[in-house]
Amino acid sequence: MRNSNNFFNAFLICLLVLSCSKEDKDDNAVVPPATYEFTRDGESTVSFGGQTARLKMAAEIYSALKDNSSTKEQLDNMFNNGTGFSDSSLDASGKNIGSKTAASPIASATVKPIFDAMIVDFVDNVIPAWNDDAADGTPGKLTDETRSVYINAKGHEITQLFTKGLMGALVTDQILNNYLTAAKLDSGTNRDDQANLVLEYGTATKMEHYWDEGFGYLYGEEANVARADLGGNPTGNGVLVNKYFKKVNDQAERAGIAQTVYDAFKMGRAAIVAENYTVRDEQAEIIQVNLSKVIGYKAMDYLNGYVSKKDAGNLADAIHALSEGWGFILSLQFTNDGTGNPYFSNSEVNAMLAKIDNFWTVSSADCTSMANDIKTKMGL
Amino acid sequence: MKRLLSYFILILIIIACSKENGNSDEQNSVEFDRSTILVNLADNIIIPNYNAFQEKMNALKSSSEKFISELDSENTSTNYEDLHNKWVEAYMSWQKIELYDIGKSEEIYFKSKMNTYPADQSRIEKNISTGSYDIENPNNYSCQGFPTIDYMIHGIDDNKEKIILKYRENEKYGQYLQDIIKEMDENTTEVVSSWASFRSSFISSYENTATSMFNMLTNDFVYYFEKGLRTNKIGIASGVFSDEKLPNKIEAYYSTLNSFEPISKKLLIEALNSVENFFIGKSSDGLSTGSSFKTYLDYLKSNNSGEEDTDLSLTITTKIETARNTINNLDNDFIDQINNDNIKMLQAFDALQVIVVHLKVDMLQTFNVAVDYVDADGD
Repeated sequence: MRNSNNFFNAFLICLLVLSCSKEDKDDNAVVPPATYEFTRDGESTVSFGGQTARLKMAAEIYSALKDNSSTKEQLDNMFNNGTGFSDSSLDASGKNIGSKTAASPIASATVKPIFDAMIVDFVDNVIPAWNDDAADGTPGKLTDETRSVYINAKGHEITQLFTKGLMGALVTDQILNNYLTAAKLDSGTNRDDQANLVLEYGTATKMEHYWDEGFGYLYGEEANVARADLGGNPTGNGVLVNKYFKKVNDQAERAGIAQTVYDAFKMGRAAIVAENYTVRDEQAEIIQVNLSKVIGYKAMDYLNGYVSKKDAGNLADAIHALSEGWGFILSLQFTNDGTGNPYFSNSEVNAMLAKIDNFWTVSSADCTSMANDIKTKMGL
Repeated sequence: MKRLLSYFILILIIIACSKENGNSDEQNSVEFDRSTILVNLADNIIIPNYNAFQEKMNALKSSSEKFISELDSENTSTNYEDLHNKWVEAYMSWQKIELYDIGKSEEIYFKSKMNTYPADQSRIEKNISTGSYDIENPNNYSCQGFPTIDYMIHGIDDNKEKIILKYRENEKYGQYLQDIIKEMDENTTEVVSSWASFRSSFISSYENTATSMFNMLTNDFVYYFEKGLRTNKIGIASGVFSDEKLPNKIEAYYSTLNSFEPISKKLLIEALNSVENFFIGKSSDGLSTGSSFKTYLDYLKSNNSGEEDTDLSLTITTKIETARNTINNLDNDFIDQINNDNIKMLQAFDALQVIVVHLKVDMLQTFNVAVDYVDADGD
């Protein structure tokens, strides 16, 4: 007994020697907690207030882009300066959406001005024509038996292009191409700081906090992220990705995607605590691929939706769908296939958007063929 | 006995472990000598470029002295042209210098003093009229250097005749112009002459630590590419970091604004070429290439067979070529380009940003060099 203990001790020391020589501590066991709850000395280490604030800002901008009393200055302040919200805590947050729009290292600088231009277009062209009949080349209102839309000269329902564009340009770009990348998580002295528990953010290390910020862009409007069934049942609160994350997950043939993403967030966060960066990066990859699919599904669905609604004779409804589709297509360049590359590049996306530039003359065949391309390329 | 046996096994395993390490050391026995990079960069690029820059600085200084001393002669117009040309030549030469912000340069804030733009027009005018200012005060970095000369010779009025008239009417302009050029010249001399003694400590500091010259120079290089080149020369003016375009923040703004000579693009191309030459270790005379970041990357790649087979140095040089083509398609007049077709500026930014990622993430990771600067991201 005693001897075998000694043998065991020797074996342990050997293991230690071996594991010490590895920088990654890849052998450290990673045990995810039951829910996204992480604590240090009894205090939670999870925080993502900035993300929650930005998600709420997006919802207010979404409404303001449907309101004919909005002004350019007001919308610009909301988007770029983070002020002018009815929820005063948002003004006080010091955050804004504009500076995080198409802001990851792989994002094209050509995208952000598109959002600024939409604000100008809405105020200068759509609002003055609020009571006019829209037609090809003429902004105004278009009604069918299902709905009314307020559109610009090309038939774009701007609030939809803008908000669905943020799905990628803000949410997935920040999560997939910024916070969950090794370049971000390992930036500066983050690995050493993780080992030495340098608590840059109160109870949390920088790396832990970055991961939480990624988590927050998806779950930031959940009332309780420690909820036991959060994984399988996201509430879909807010106007951004969580809403479509839930919708996609509620479809029988796509069910389970929410649990997969949630489990990976949990496991990856636990891996950071355990300093097991191999496991961390594997989880990041799972999230990158699966959240990208949410964007892909919706781009595809809305393109197909446009065609069927138009065929049904509901042009306003069809244009509404295509407006959402436009935003999700724009968002495709902010996906991540798990290798650091988007499923569709900026120029591929621009080529798709060029095909549907004028909603009055868009070809149904083009929409169907683009939907099929997205399905094939993303393995949907 | 069994206890002895277990210790014996333990020792065996430890030996086995260290043997493994020994083997991997052996594999790397022809380890890359990073000091060769520092030697090549110092002797064939940095020092010759500094010397060449100092000559251009001297020429600029002489030209400005001649311009001021002959203000009332019939030569004034020719002297003015010469001053403009010497400013352009020195500014072009500066594009090779800005990235070596190390040693004395870093110590005296050489880079900030030489090329902070936009120039602070109202503060410069205040300095001129009071004649009393502390040139070392950081608030005055935007009141000296090349951008301030740009304002002084292209921006105090909107054409040559009117500008010359201002110098004739108010000698304080000539005084300030000469004072700041003298300051630039002295700072240049201080930096350039420091290399006589600095060289030896520079080339011998090649270990992988946060404060080694190799690591600091590598970081300077990446930082310059990201900030000095991508952000300052393209990004800020084209509105990448703001909600509006800011064409008055281009490099060499006044020379462009008042139609003297739109040189912003020329300066940018020169900066990009300098970065490329530095990366591939091409000597300042263009005749040879030596040990460099590129050869180091190539070495690490060939010793890493089986891992990733991407040719990083080729990727970087290819993308520099792409970026150069994108930039060459821009209008020489960046103000017009930004106001009329800013998307091309943004595409040029994208072309540079792609390289930032390769340098800052891929190259530094391959070198196992830690980034010594972190971007504030507002969270």
